[in-house]
Amino acid sequence: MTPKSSVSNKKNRRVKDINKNINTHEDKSNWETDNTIVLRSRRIKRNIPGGVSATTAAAAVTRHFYNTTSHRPQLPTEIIVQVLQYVTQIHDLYTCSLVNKQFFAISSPLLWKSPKLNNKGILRHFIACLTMADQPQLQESLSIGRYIRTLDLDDWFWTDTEFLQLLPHVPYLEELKIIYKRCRKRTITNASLQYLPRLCPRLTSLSITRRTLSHHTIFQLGHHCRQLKHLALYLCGDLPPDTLILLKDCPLESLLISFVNRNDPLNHRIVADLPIFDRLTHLVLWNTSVDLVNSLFPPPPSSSPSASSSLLPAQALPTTTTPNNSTSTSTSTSTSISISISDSIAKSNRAVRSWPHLAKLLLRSCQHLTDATFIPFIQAHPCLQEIDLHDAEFTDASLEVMAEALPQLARLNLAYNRQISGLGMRRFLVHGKCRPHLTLVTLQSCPHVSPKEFPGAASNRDYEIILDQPAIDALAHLD
Amino acid sequence: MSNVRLLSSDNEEFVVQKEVAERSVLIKNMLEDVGETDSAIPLPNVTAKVLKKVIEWCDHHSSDPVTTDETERRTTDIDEWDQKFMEVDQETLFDIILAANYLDIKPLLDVGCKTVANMIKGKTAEEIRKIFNIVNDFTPEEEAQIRKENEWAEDR
Repeated sequence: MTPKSSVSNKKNRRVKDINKNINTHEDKSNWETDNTIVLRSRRIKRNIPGGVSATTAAAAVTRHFYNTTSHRPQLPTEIIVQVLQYVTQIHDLYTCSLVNKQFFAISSPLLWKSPKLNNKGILRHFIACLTMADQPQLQESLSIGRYIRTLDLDDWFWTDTEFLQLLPHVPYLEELKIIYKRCRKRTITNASLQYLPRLCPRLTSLSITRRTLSHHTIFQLGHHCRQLKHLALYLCGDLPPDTLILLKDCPLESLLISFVNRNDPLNHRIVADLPIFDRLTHLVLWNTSVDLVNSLFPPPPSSSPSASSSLLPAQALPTTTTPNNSTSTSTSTSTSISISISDSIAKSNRAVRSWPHLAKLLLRSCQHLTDATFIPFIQAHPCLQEIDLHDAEFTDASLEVMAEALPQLARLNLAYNRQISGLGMRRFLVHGKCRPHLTLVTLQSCPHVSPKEFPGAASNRDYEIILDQPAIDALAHLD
Repeated sequence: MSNVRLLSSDNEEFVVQKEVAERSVLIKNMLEDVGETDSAIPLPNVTAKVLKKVIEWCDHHSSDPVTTDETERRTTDIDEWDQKFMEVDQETLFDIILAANYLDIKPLLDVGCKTVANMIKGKTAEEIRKIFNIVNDFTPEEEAQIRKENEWAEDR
């Protein structure tokens, strides 16, 4: 530890003697921590200003503070807890852990909450510390790994060996991201990942890039991680077709899948189960085929009359949705929106519900997405805040419906849409109910939208038209 | 605009606009409990010197919107006026924090805690002990153990 520039404080000189008096009678057993940091230092015992109600306690504190000969107030533990919340530098937290037992107890959870491990030496050391800390050699020694909540790991430094060493020590891990780095032969693979769900059952967020996960691993994830809300699978090959069924007990709110092979027919099997997750707010699918995207939207009634009987036109969002009802048929009018997930499902007369809370939708290869399919979808998802679609074929009519039906829309990205016009987009921007919320609209390579129609917009050589809030406001003034 | 009388621990009386005094949730609740009153509200935990500072802060911030969003309150930086306001000796700073805690003025408590957190930046453990008026209560063995455990964080 390198001593930093020391600020000489004249008032501190007299402190030491007083401290001796105050602190010599310290009882070691008063200091302990538990999962929820139980802090019982001598100071807490003496001073508990419990806010408004504990005025008598606070009065006692004040008497204590002001009756000492030094007249130097000490801060009670609850305030030191608050102060340390604002200490963000790892080094400063490390220093705080060495100040005294009270500071150690408060700063350790902060220090270990999301350790950044970005070189091999630190990684080895970190694992050595974890394993050592878990052996209660000293009375105060605690399994420090349980403070760890967030980890970002990458292939550059981590292999199955280290990951397996780590896993038993981080039972309270909530967020895990495994980042892909090229050119590594040994990485974290399914061999170690299969133990993750059992050892880290409190995971709420998991992001994995470029690994193959076995059926067993995904089953374990669904079985153990019942708090998993955010799942991102980037280019994870050979996903089992029943991946989402296996995860049906996870309260998934955001799901990102980037398919390895866009033409793999198994992808259809996976997305067919998307309606299970009625709490979904974020749906992001990369590298999708035209057919796959098409399967997400109900076919227009005229084109499949046999299915249309089961698929009610989506006019309004159901006011109440009952969970775990995805298999029921849409005989009830409350299930007014139905999305045909695949032809086979539509033919089997099974109507599927939408995601009433959907806020973000990102899809690629939307060539079959026309007004007939998109408008009912918009009307059924009034919470949408972000739409990002490539190759869609809907027209200004959809924009008009969006202007009315999506009051919270904040971001819109459309690329390669050959139908929408500059005029239609301007109308949408100026008159849309979402205008106060709109922060960013980007239009790329849409042949009927010209940058000239949007004075104030930034544009680049990719024919991208970028409209931020001031640019949109400026448009409104022009009109 | 009605006024409220506040009595410091050293018996100095302050006459304050009601909306200024009500930045303190403690006082606000008291006023609601007792209703209209002519008698001064005694604040036995706050000296006149500190109360004067606290009133100055409440006066400046009397029309601030009340932020209930915890994360917003936590992440906003200290504004310029507050920075200047907090340029006091450390004893006064701690007294203001204690008073804000007692009077339940959360935004002032936040500013105080952020100011103290800034004081910790780049300091050694010994310097931090001096700031907080505390001693090292680790045995040498315990301290060595912690250094070992947290060594990965030492140079971060």
